[in-house]
Amino acid sequence: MSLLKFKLGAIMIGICLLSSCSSIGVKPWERDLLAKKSMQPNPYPLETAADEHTYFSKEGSSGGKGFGGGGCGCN
Amino acid sequence: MQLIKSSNRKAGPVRVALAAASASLLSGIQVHADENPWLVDSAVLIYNESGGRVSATEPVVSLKKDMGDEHFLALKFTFDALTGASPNGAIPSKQTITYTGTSGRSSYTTTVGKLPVDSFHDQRRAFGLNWDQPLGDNFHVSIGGDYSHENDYQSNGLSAAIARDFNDKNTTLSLGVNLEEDSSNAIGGIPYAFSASSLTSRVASSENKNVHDILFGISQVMSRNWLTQLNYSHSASTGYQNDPYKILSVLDSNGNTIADPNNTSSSLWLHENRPDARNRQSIFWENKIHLTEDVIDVSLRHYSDDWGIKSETFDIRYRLEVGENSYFEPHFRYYTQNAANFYRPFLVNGTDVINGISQLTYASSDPRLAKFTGNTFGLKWGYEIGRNSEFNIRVEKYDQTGKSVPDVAKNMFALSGLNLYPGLSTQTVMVGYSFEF
Repeated sequence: MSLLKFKLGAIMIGICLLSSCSSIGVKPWERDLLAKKSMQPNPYPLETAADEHTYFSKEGSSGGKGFGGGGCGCN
Repeated sequence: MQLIKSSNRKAGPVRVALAAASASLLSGIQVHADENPWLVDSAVLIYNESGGRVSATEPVVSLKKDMGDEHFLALKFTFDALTGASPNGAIPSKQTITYTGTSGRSSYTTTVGKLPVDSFHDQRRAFGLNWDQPLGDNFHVSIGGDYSHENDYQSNGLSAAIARDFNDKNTTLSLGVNLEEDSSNAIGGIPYAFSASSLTSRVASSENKNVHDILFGISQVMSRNWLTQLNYSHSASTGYQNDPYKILSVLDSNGNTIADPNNTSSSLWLHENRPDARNRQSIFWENKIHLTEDVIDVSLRHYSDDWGIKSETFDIRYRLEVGENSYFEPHFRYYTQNAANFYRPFLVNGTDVINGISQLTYASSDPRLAKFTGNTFGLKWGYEIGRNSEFNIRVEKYDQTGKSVPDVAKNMFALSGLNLYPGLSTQTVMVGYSFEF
């Protein structure tokens, strides 16, 4: 039941994001901060990949951010 | 043409940010407006587990180049050198025990109260190739391949993704698929499910596994200083999913090992068996918020699979700008999962096992399938040398904690006083250097 609520919540957020796009977001000239490296969603991909690989090999869960980039005998 | 390029200088970074936000499917491209140099990202990871368990040294290099008009080629090379020991699946004992070695490995001894671990060394070489390009005014497409080779494991993968921008490029929807084929070539061969560790005959020399992933992502610029991303992913894997080196202890009602019916001078340990299909799904939500100077990155993940594992992950990083060119970034991650349906710390003779034969369909004592909590604390320091050039160093500590005495062991006096949960404590140092040429 909690998973269902979580999914519904996530879907609602998604719908909200899509439906209210006319009032959120920025104009092209307002993208100065978003253009900074620190605001890129994955500014350090090697670091992200190393973390994902470590957790993939030590935990029962994986995924979410993207694809693992290859299987491994570590799991 | 010049007009188009000029326009791209304004919109490019944000569009790329949105594309990369969509599940990192598009590889986090950095735009270089004036020239098209190779962008080199390199790092060395040094990883250690306490207690003489796994140690790894991993150098990795990635190369990216804009081949013209934002058509990006990316290459990635990874090398892993692993040594140390990993838990063999048996539980600690009040006696010194010699294990015959699984899958043809030599015998080894575990002293009183210690976690039984089997030593190994391995090398992993991985190569990735990715092509990313715009398609029309609002689409991005990406295709890639991955290859990974170890002494006893091989993996090949293909991936493709498409992303579309909406609403003045404030919204990006993306869809990605990944196909992977793995081959396990266990040293000594693949053991029969639930066969005694003393049994030398094998099912085969190798077994295969196929993995199909699909990921749907939405990223949205909420405001000038807020970017949010929501992903749903589903993964289906079929084929061989056992760990060929893992065994299970078989204990009597008092917690003592029992004799192997086929070799009464030895105790009985059985190889594990897991389902040959697994369906995983996760919802991942990340927010990046730019404060006055600093940036906060917060993410949540909910995960579940049909092996019965559910997990929650919370991750937060705070990038603290120090002066013009450097920053500190503290990091905290909290992870918790429950156990897989078939997780057993050991098997009980008379119920789970009768006359050396497992009465269960599936069972594994792999600690990764147990209930546990993991905490990560980290700190990173970075120095921006110039455009597309940075040096950084990061240290992290990760600890898993679980139940030292599972319910099934509470009344077994032969196990009293023993910590039956393997635990895990790791330390990581990662040094990175990026530049262009």
